Amino acid sequence: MASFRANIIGTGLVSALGRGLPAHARALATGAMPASPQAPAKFLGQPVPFLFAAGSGPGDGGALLRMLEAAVGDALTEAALTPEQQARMGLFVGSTSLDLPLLESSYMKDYARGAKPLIQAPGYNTLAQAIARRFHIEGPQYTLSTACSSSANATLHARSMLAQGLIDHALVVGAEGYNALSLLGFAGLMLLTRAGYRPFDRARDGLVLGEGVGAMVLGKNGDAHQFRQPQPGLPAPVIEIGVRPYFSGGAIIGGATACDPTSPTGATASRVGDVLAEALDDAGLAEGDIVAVKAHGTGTPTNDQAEGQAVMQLFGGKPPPVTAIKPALGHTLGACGVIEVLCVLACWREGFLPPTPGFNETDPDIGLTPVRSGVPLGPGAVLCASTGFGGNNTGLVVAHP
Amino acid sequence: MRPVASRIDKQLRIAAAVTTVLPCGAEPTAIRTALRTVLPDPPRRVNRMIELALLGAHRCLHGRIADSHCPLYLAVTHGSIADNVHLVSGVSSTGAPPMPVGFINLSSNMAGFYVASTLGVHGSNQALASGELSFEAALELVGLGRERRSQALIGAVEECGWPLAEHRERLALPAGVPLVEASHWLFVDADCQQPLATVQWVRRFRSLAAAQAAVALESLPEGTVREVDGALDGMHSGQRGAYRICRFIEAGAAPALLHVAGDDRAAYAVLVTR
Repeated sequence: MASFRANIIGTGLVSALGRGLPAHARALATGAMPASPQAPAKFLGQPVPFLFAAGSGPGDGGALLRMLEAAVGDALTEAALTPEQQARMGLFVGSTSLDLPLLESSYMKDYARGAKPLIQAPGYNTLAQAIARRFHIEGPQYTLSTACSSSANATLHARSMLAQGLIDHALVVGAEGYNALSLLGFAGLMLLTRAGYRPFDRARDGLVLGEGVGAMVLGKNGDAHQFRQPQPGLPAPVIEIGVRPYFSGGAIIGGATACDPTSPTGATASRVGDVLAEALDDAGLAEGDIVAVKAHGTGTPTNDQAEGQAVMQLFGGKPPPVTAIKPALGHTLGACGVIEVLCVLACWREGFLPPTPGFNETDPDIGLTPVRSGVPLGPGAVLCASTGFGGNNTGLVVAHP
Repeated sequence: MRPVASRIDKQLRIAAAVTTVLPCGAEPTAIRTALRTVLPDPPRRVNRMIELALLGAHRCLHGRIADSHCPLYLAVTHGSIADNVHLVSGVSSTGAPPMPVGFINLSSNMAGFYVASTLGVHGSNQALASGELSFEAALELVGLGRERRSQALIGAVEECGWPLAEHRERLALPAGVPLVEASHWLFVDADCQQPLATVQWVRRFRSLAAAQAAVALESLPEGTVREVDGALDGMHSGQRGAYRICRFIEAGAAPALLHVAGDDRAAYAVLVTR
């Protein structure tokens, strides 16, 4: 198990940054944050911004299904499995809001037209069933709902089943659509930023939520159609994204997850550090093998402090380049595990690690300075962290070649 | 096409198993008093789903100390229905934010968090769904042994929302059909020297018919009780497996249980021996 590689042979990605990995790499390379996010709600008289995907908006429950259609369709197209392989593949969905956007939208429409509104029962497996029906997937379905680590955990389970030979391919989907309950819930918790999204910054004060769907088709060792353009050696920083990708593969080679039972909403440095160390151990790697860290980086004061300290301790105070990309596409909650792995992969394929938008000043209580501009990123392994409500901490190790 | 889509032959030694079933009346049954009998100082400001999970898990372990790395799997189909309805209708009709505690408690893994917190364990905490086969899927994933731990807690919890007429309408159930809330838990421990029972295998099939055909060819212990699909009064279909295994253990009569369940996309067969 320690060295099992779940090869990423198909990718699909939809978020506020656009559709597809090249579009995300282009946007992330700039280090810019969206100029004018929509504000679909108010809290304490102030507009509450949200980063919608293109074509989406408040009250549009169908947007989630359209994002699924696009991202999953792209991933399956790229994987180019036979119909039989696609039918047999396992389906692993990670989401925290699940079908809430659909239920909320339906309720709102009934409410607005004066009909007797009935909120349907949330169906934890509704999204998985919709994907399976649409794409003729008849293999096992699992939905993991572990808050913001949901899709990272879905990835872990998919890799386990691949490793044990129970499935030949897995479709892992992280999905999160706009819903007013989540937006206002985070507002009520005072976790949304007022001054601007800036993970790990001394002046950080919260986050901006976003929506999106990330989809990965994973295959086992030996799946041949991945490294189409291997080019060994450290590349120059990207100039023309998508024109001549540095590589086109990637693999999940390790991971771990655990529950921090000390607080329902906070993380502690030691627990986060334990999980990240266990993820490295699972991958059969040491700290020195890691070429970069993709932090969860919510931008909230306490979570960034715990995660930042964990990273600093794990790497003995000298971590490899660290990035946190949520300011660019918003915190996509349960989908962020897969979405952000794909964002890193998108940039990595072009030879760079994306910058951390919004970061300006190192917090002396953390001592971590994430990258402010894109830096070259060559072969090796990237450690990706996810933390969430309910004490869920998860680490994934992504590698190429 | 392979008749058996997946087979997990790793034995799961069941060290403890308890089913807690609360028939639903006109008003919700008070859980807090019962919870205090197994957890004297239960967490405050938690919702009914969390209380049900705590009641079942602590009844199951009954003072037994789990390994601190013990992973926890909670099989769910609908989760916190009452809070979902309350919070969504509130936000949608008023535009006001939900109460912070209510919103936090709605997170799917919060029941598992409070179980882990009160038991002092910090292994993985997974809220898992697989249609009407969530519990069987949880058994399957535990059997994978990804966590590389000797123990695991596996629960199946569902709550109801009141008024029950609306709840039935939500679940597309006939008017007047009996309903129950339930919290079933297994504690499996590979190092248990005297297990109450052992899950011998978990197999997944592409359909109930395929499962039935395959298990008909199995050589099973004499006297094995065969429980194939079918409704259990008021029990949510996603809880059948957990309920049957717990009842099989509590009854202490038959030497083995073959549980077979399916929905419109898959089926599982689970063999449990005493």
